Amino acid sequence: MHSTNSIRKTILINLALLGLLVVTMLLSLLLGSTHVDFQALLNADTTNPDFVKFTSILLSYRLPRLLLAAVAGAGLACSGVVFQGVLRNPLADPYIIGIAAGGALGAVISIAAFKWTWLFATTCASFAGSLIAVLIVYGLAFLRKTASYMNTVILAGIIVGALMNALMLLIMSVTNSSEIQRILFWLMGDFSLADYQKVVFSAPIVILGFIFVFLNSSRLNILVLGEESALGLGVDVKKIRFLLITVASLMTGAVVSVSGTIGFVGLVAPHSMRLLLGPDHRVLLPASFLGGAAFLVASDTLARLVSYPVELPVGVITALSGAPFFLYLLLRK
Amino acid sequence: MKPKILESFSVSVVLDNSRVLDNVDFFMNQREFVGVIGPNGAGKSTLVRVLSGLQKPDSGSVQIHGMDIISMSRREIARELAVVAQEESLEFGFTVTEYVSLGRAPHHGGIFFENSHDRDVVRSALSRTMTEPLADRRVESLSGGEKQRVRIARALAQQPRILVLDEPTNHLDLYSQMKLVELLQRINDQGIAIMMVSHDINFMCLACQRLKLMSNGRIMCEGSPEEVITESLIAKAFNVQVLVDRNPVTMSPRITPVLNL
Repeated sequence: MHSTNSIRKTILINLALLGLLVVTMLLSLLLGSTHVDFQALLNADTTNPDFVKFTSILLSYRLPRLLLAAVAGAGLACSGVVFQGVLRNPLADPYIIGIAAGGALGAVISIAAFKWTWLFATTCASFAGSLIAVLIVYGLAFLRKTASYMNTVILAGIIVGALMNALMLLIMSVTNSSEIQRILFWLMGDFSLADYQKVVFSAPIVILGFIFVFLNSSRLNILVLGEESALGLGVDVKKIRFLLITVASLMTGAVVSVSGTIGFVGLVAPHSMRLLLGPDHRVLLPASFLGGAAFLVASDTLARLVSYPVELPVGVITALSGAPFFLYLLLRK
Repeated sequence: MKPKILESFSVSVVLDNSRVLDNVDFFMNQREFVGVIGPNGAGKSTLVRVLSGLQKPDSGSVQIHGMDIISMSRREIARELAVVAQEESLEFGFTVTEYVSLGRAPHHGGIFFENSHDRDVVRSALSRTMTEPLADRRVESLSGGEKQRVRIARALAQQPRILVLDEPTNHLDLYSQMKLVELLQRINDQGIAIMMVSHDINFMCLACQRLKLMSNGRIMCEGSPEEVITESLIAKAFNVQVLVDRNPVTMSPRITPVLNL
């Protein structure tokens, strides 16, 4: 960046990514196991049974699914950027402080308890589980005042995550097989149960969260320099760090609760954007938001199409594309 | 009485039951170039942290231009006083221009994009530190001396009235040290008061107008380099026998440690 054109750069790059996202979403809407006849759609003849069938496939199946994938990708990528910046650790991802484990435990409890009767209960229970995990982590960090705050948060997160994983395995070991199937799908990340209710629940949290962290992106640039330097540059480090982690955790919890624990998006999207655009969070945050959305919509579309009629969990696609990418990052230096 | 630009009143800091700072009264005047010398563990870095508001003293108070530092917001402090810290991670991929631009943050709220005034200030900070040719380089690719100049450029971009440096000669070779003295004296001539902390006595004698000698959390004595750098005072503070003579070029005091072999 020459600072002379940082605003223009931000706008241009993000317009391009927005274009990419729109194209990806259109493709995702149009590609699928059922061939959609556009002629019939464009004629808009409501008496034509094909038109009714196609609009129903698009509106009640593909559209909520791709919207949910977009929200999840945007939320995970965006909170990944925040965690990596605040914790000053390139390997940090949105799940690092136990949010995903908390969310998974909540979901598993609800699946085991409610069976198939009330699907939205899984979302609520998962979101509650991730909030409880974050509260415990904060409680531990608060109790252990003297030590390095960030290290305590990470350590507490790992411990809370391990504990919740153990509880989850305990519940799974006494659950019967039809629920196990659903739990496994949930753990690998899955959009096949997407509906508008989930979109309406998660989108506002992700979008408001993004606006908040974007408005703090200059402060995030400074936090990367370390606590002392950030204080010296006038940033109230403790307060800003707390707010950013809280908001990123809410975003992650909301996403996990509607999509399960999809891996790699929170790492791959932010790092790709860093490689392409540099470390400036004013560019990086909106770019990761849009790029993460496009990446997950594309991955989910592939998950639907690759091995039709069997649908792959989207987490498999993100991991299969994310792991080689990480090897590349590792070997590049 | 005219308020000092930076002043502390019987400041004490206790860490793990030991008094790191013990009733320290520090002051410096406008446009002054003050050095604090002392052995490792004398409390120099803690004094820097307390004076720049990074650490609250257990007792006593600090004033910047007559204003109690407690009543000032972080951003207000950062507009008056810039710190060049001892160690700072510079492994984050910013270019020199991006990094120096972060110095504008205290003059803005949350998110900001540099306006033309900010860009002028950044450009001037780069030119004053002779880092313009490095503007598009990544900070982590620079040499130690270049990194130090870039850190100072970032501090200048804050447009402070006081510049505080903690052990600025660490890891610098002789050439970079001499460049640093020149640079700091030029900045001081432009009207910025400088407070610098180091254990490198000869370097401090070259650079500073006034010295304060610290030992065991107290300021033992202060004055011109000639007054402070005496064989008995240095032996007392550093627990090392030294010979003091004159730098043949600048005539400032110069020490030579004596080995008792």
